[in-house]
Amino acid sequence: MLPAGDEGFWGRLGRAAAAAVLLCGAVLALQACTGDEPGPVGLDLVDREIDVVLQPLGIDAVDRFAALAIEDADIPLSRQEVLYLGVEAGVASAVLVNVDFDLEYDEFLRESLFSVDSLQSVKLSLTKLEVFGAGAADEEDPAKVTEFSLHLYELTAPFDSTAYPGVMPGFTRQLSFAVEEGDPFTWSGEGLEIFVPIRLDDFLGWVDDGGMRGFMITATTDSDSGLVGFAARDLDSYNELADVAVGTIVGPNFVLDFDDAVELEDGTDVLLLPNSGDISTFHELSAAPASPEDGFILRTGLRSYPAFRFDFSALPHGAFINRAVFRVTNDTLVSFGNLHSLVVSELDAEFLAEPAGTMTLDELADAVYVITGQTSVDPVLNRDLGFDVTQAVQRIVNEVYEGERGLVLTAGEDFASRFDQGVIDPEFYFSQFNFLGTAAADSLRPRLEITYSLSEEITGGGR
Amino acid sequence: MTGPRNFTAPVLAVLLAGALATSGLAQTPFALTNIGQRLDNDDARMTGRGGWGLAVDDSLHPGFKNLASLYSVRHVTLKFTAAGDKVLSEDEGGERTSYRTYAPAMRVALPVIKGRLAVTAGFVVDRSTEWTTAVDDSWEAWSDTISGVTEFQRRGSMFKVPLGVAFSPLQGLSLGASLDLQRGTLRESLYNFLRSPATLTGAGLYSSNLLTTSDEYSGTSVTTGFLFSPHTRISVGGSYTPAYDVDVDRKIEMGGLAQRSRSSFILGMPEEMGLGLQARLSGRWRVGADYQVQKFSAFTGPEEWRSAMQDEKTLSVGLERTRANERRGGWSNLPVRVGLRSRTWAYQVGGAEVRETTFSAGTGFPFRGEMGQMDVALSYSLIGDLQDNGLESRVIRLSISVTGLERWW
Repeated sequence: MLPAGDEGFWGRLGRAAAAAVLLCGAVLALQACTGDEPGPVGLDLVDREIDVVLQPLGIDAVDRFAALAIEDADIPLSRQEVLYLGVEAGVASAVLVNVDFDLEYDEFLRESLFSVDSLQSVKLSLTKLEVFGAGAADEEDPAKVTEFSLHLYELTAPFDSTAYPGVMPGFTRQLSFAVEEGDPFTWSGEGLEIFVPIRLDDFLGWVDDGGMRGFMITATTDSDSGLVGFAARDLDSYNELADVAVGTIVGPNFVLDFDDAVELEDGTDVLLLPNSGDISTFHELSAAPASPEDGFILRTGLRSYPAFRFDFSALPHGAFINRAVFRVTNDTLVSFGNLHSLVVSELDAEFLAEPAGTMTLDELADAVYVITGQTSVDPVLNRDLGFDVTQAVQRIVNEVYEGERGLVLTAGEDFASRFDQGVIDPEFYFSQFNFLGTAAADSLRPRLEITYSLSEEITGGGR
Repeated sequence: MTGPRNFTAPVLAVLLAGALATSGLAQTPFALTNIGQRLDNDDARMTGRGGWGLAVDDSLHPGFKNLASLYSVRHVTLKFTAAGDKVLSEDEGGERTSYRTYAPAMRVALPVIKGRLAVTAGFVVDRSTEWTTAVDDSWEAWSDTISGVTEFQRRGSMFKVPLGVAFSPLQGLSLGASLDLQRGTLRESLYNFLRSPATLTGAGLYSSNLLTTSDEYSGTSVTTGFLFSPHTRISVGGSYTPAYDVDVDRKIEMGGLAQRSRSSFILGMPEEMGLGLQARLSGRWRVGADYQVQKFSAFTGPEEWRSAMQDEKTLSVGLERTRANERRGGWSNLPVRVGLRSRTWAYQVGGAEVRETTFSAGTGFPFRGEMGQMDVALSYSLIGDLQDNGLESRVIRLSISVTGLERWW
């Protein structure tokens, strides 16, 4: 029994809690009233200022440069999915094909069928990638070739895949085509699948001789300028093709059309003879300029990526970088190829050695730190390109790395996942961005446009 | 005094509210320069009567302004003060009305020998600053016109943790002393918010600037005091703090930069002294006055501060009708306080001294069983002069103090 007037500990605690809640509520309510917009009142008493605010500084002095040749050990040229044929901006390529004529005969495919009586026609089939157009004239997109003329050569020996890119192989003879118009075979550009007519006697002779035989397909000099991609035997990215019929072999192959009376195992009278190996020669491949004065290139397919180190000596120590933009000018008159992501990354300056060495793609991935990029850059249309490298320049100013750093311009590789769109990697399409060099006009040369602010109270301070 | 233990409520309230309230941050544009604005850290009882309290001796409602007065406490005493300001500031740039709540002091006294010897500790904000200016601004870079806002914010406080003792060696005389751990910070932030041009996401294309200067204060001072009551109607009290040094570690940095500047210097804080008088008039009325001076003319430190320094003088006078316990006394039992305080600031602004005049009034409400009290005070201050200083502020402040007593042993 509690004494009268004594409510006990728990009663007092309850009242205490109530009082505390009320007081806290009052304090919180008052604090909610503390927001008031600052204005100019008192401005005359402010004597602090940042000494330099938004100072522009252009840096176009490149003190180290390298055109990095990048190899993908997993996908050598002979394993690439696309074969390139034609000439464009200093690049020329023929297509080499090896075919095994040691045919395996059976009850359907009898040796006797390989005679002028049964074999009606033979064509060499090439399937063009959809991006190179259906052949209709298209002035806005020069990649869409209008007319193409081909020569076909029988090689002295099957090609050696390790020799390419390299010079064109020796050949025993130029083949004539089984058309009245004669040599060369001219493809009007219509359709995505090209059928090059082969003389029957040539083909039957190869079958009689058996063994592996190499062929070379070249574009004549009077063909429309352009480097056109065709499906290779290793093509897996079927999305890059237009719709093709079921059963189509998209890599270069011979299409053998037998007499109607012939019925092969699949119930048809057509036999597709696939190749045993194919490759692009890239027998003319302009070397990436060794000096940035002459311009520089970014090339996919056979990757070549330019790397720079700018001379930052004009940038004050302790500058805060408000913005830094890496600007390059793409020469759209000579650049060619498909749309690509372009990515700017930091690169350890040790890789900017002269002459530039060759790196593997894995080594490059380990050496870079991705900064920024742009997607769907058209080498033919996009001239002025700017990349925001503010944080990278700030890191350089802050000396956060032990060694020196440069910038490398690459395509959308796997290591730049933000800019690696789709399933096509940069080795698929052979494209080339030709950028103007440091000897170009001020507004066209590669440069950093830096905007910085500076407090002299910090400049010279320790870190 | 004895009574039921009903002290839990104020203790909990003090602790929770103390955790929630912002620290002591005064706000007028005068605090944009120099050592900062003197913060009124008196409890609401003193504030209501103009701020005098050096000569007060009240065991049930002790003031902490003069540590020597604490000798008489017979209970563990906690005191918490919070305040809310509405400030109207004006200069050529216009007017700004701002609001703030803050908690300038929390103090505790513990009797060791009841009525003779006590120890004390606490947390007291002496000076503070909190003001922000902002103006639209624009810059040119490359082909861009960059627009945004330049904002300057000054924020910080100097506070102390006094660890003291009060002792009465003779009837009518008491002495007090404390070791004060002086601490504090001051942060000045200058922003260039660069808002346009912007990206599609709304972020500025150009990174904004932030230049920050951060000072950390550290020092130790000693304060002594006395209270002398030669007559039942007259008391005299005083306190004295000798000059002391405050070490300042300064760090200047810019957002995004690894480089930063570090330096250190010493603030030579001048001596501070105060003298107070209380006289009991007829009935429940008392009158009192305090005069305090801190000789900032002897201050040593940054030249841009020192050159504007002058002695800080404060005169507080007021009248108080103390509380009564008349049955059915009603409102007449409540204490009534009025006061006036005049202060000359420690530094000049606009080439002229800054005068601050405060009118105040207040009252209080006892807790049951005489185990504490809640006091409130309302004050109105005029700071500076538009003509002389280029700006002026008018402050309406509501102060609330909770004093709790408890017998813990």
